[in-house]
Amino acid sequence: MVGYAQGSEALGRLGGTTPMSPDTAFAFFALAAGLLACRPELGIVGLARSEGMGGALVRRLLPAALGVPLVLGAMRYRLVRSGWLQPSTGVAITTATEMVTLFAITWIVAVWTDRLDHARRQSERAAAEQSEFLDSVIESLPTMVFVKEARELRFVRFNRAGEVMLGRPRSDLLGRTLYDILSSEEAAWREEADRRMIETLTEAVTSEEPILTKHLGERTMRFRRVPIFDRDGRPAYLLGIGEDVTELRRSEARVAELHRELEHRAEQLQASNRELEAFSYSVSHDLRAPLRHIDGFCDLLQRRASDRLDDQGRKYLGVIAQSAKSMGQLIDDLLAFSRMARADLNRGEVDLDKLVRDVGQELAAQAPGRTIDWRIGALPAVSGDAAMLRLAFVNLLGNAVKYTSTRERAVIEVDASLSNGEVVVCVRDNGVGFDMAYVHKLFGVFQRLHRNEDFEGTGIGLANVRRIVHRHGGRTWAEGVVDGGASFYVALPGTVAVDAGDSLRGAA
Amino acid sequence: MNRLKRVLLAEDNAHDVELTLAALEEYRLANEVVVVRDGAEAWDYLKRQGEFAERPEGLPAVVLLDLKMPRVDGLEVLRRMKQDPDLATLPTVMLTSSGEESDLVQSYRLGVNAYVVKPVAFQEFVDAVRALGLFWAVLNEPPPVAVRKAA
Repeated sequence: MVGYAQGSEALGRLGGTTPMSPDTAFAFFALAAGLLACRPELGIVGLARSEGMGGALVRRLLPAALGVPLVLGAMRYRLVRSGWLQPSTGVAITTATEMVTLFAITWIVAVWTDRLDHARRQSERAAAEQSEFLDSVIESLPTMVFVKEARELRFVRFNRAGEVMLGRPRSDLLGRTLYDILSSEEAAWREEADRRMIETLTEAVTSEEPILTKHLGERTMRFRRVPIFDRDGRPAYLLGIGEDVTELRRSEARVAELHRELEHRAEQLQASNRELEAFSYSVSHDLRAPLRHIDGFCDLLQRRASDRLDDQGRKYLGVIAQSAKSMGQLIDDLLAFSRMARADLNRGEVDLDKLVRDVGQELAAQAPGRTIDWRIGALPAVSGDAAMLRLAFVNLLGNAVKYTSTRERAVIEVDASLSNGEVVVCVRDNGVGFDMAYVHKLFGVFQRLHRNEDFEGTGIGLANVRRIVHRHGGRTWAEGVVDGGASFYVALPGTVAVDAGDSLRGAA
Repeated sequence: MNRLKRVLLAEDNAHDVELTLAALEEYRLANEVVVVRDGAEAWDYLKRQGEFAERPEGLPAVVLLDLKMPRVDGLEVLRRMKQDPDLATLPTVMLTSSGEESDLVQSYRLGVNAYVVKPVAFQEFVDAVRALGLFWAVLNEPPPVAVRKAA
């Protein structure tokens, strides 16, 4: 073909023995190109198609190396033949042009290659920096991090926290499997979770294992494993994160132990409650029977043999009967008091205003002939056990009625205020009052500040009030002056019902 | 005046028996009070067996049961009575010292007709027994079975 292009008969017949026409030559060329193209990954075509630097150079330089001499040779032939140029001048010009053209092409390609190389170096540096950054992140993580390749489970990564944790350098592990370090039995069960994860392609597997460390003794480690998949979706690596959960498990065990202890205590408490129950049962049954007998036979004696006794004897009989009755009252009060502690609190909305007015009316009816000035302000509705709160106010108002009995005109005031989320109800009277020196005894069981001859009572009323209020989460206290009246306060916490504000404002 | 009917009193405490009898006597409310001293005796009496095999036929108008008794307690007697077709309709009253809620609940569950807590004060006790006697032995019409057998 070159012969055709340059009009050389000698090139047309290679070596002078093989004559070939241009179309035959073209057919041969096409055949060769086809042969090359059908195995594109091999030979020159493979190189020309390569993504590497060589491929880029071949693609840029080969067309020039083949094309430039061909074009220049054809031009020289035409110009010399048409007589425009002397053959010697043609050769010189062609040579010079080829030199310049090839120089220029080489130069351009070199500049381009250099630029490409520079960019590549830069991206390599960036990639290295990126990898260094990831390395330092993994190294600085405060938990043990390791990576194993998924086939043989050899360690390929192990971070500093892991080294510190185990107390051994990573060189002990990297490139090795657990079988190289531990007994095959131990390695087998420790690798079990790894294998399970890889085989089942699970997202993550968590296991907890005891690990013997160099400096900290045996620790409990919690391992979480995540598979790292390759492009085909097969697990290529296994990323593991190990946390020391020894303290956590220890405190959990402690909590569980405390819980068991608490349950044990609750059982004991229940047992002692049952005992208390049995005790109050036998108190109510067994203790009351002899009292009933004392009173009964006193009565029979009085009915049937009274005439055979003198006044002194009849008085003694009366005292015996009276004592039996008051002991019966004491037992009943005590049982009611203990029931109050055990009974369930039936919370509901309690209208204190109505409750206190009802109780006041009842008490007034029980004290005919007394002049009592009731001054009851507006009281709020609270949340609580209506029956219990009623008992508390029966005791408080009953006390007020009782201890004002020496007054010609008794004044009993009840009002409520709201402070710090508490409803504070105050019951005030102008009765005999009490000495503040003994205020601490006031709410105790069977504690009395007055003689029975002066004011009857068993000393359980205020103890009941306190118990009821405590069971509602509230407080009680009292103020008094000897012969100057008393004030009793009941504070119920956060128990104001919805409409309480209105009635409280009404009270203000 | 109505013919007075028989009353069965099951009570282990001698003092209580004496006081109860005294109270019933005071108002002459029962012409015959049969006293048994525990639940087993009460059961034997009601079933006419054991030492009561020879007793005259017929059932009392009312059974007054103490709760706590040796051998068989009041609740057990009550339970057996309610399961026995002959005795299930016989009026039964618990007369006891115990005002415990659990005793009350159990007694009523078993089908007791009344539950009376013996008051400590004798006068109140007399009043209570009198009211009981008046109601069960005089006013109340016992179920036909008791009447038929008593006749």
